[in-house]
Amino acid sequence: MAGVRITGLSKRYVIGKEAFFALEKMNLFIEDGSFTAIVGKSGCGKTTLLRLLCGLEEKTSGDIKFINRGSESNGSDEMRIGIMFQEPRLMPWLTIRENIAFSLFPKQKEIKKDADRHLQTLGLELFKDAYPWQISGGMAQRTALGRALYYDPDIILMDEPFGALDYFTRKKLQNEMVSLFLNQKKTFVFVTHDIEEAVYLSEKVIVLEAGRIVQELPVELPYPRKTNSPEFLNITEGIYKAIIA
Amino acid sequence: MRFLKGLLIPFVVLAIWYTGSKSGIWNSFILPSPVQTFETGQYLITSGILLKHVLISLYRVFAGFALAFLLAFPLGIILGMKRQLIDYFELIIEFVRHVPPLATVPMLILWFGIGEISKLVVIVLASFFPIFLNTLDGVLRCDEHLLEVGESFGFAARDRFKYIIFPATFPYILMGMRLGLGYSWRALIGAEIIAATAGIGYMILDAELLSRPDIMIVGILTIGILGTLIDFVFFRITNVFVIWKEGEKTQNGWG
Repeated sequence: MAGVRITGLSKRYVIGKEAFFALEKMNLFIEDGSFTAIVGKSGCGKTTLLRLLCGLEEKTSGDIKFINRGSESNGSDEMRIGIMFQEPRLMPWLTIRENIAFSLFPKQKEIKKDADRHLQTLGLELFKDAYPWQISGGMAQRTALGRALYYDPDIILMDEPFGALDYFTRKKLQNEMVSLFLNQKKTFVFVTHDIEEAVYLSEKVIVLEAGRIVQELPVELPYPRKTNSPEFLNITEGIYKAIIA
Repeated sequence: MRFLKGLLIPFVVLAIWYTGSKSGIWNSFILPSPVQTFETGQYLITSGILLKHVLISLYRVFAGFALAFLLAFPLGIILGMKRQLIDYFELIIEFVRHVPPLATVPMLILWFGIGEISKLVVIVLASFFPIFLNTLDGVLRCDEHLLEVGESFGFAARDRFKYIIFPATFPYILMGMRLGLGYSWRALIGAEIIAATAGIGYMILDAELLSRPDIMIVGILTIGILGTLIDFVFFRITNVFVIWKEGEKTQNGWG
């Protein structure tokens, strides 16, 4: 587990002759072992924030500090960060089981039992020897989740991982996410444009707009949440208003 | 069934050839009958003459191909990994690629003489480009998204190559090798024009001097059949390694 302290974080892109800020002077604290959802319209800086967190992008200015058992550290080097992308991004030449163990290929000679445990939890046991082209989109995304878990990260970053899935598969995976969060006690940062999904999953919803945080909203409902309860609808309504305002 | 369908046209050609020869439409000095060609083939095989030529030719093809691979594979990988170097090589590679290996034969004789080296160089020139270009293409096409996965897990550059770039490029390398092998086989005759004393190419050229079209036909058939066989075996062996490219497998011809 680990928390993140973000102070004055900016990311500037230059496209042609125009420069714009994908993130501008952002301050955010992500608590150790919490589930944070980041919502906002396309291009609000959600994905940029995740990519900065896992070191796939260089920040323009500001600070990202990871807090592990009370001590703060710079950069993501000593922190294990697992990321799940919008697409499964599985290695087509590896089986499902090998894909799950992929993150530790350079460090481990053989695949550990953990891989089989994740296969079982994620309902992929029957397909462990299949190749990515042989399984459905939902199973592929589950494999990507298994890959992130096998890495045993302190923080799991998720970039609209269920965006491309059908309604039923998405619902099922959302429930799996909740039980995973309750059992694993890791820090989750989940980016989505689906307000309902954000409220269903997270303890805190961050609303982004043009690279700035416009609202931070705690969701104090017990899991599992009912999407048709008045409290739930209240919160989603509030976030919706904050985004269109 | 597919194999039988493929045999239909050769069979029709054979039938026309046979009927034409039998009814005396063609002069047997220009086109010997299939029976005569078959008998010549039988003689060349049983006497061991054909085998001798085939072995020499196979040696040249595989030696030239191996040399081409040793040059083309690393160059393709290096240029693919260090893209800024491509600018330095692009023009010269385009230039050499468009020069037929046969055009260089007189120069090669001048430089390397009429020995084995000139013959090997012709084959190397022919098979270098498919291997090189396919390898380069494979590295350049490596999915940026997959590389990011490695990066996000903190893979060092060496591990990114070993676990992502190389496996992703592997099918392209095999395809390049397959084409390269075919090209070296096709360049064989060009190579054996150079004062050879053995080899299938030599056998055909020698038959020209002796006015033996039957031997020429046996030579041509040998080249075609062996080329097809080598390609088939290569494809079968290598396909085991790219099982994940299932979707593309059937398009490659031997599905």
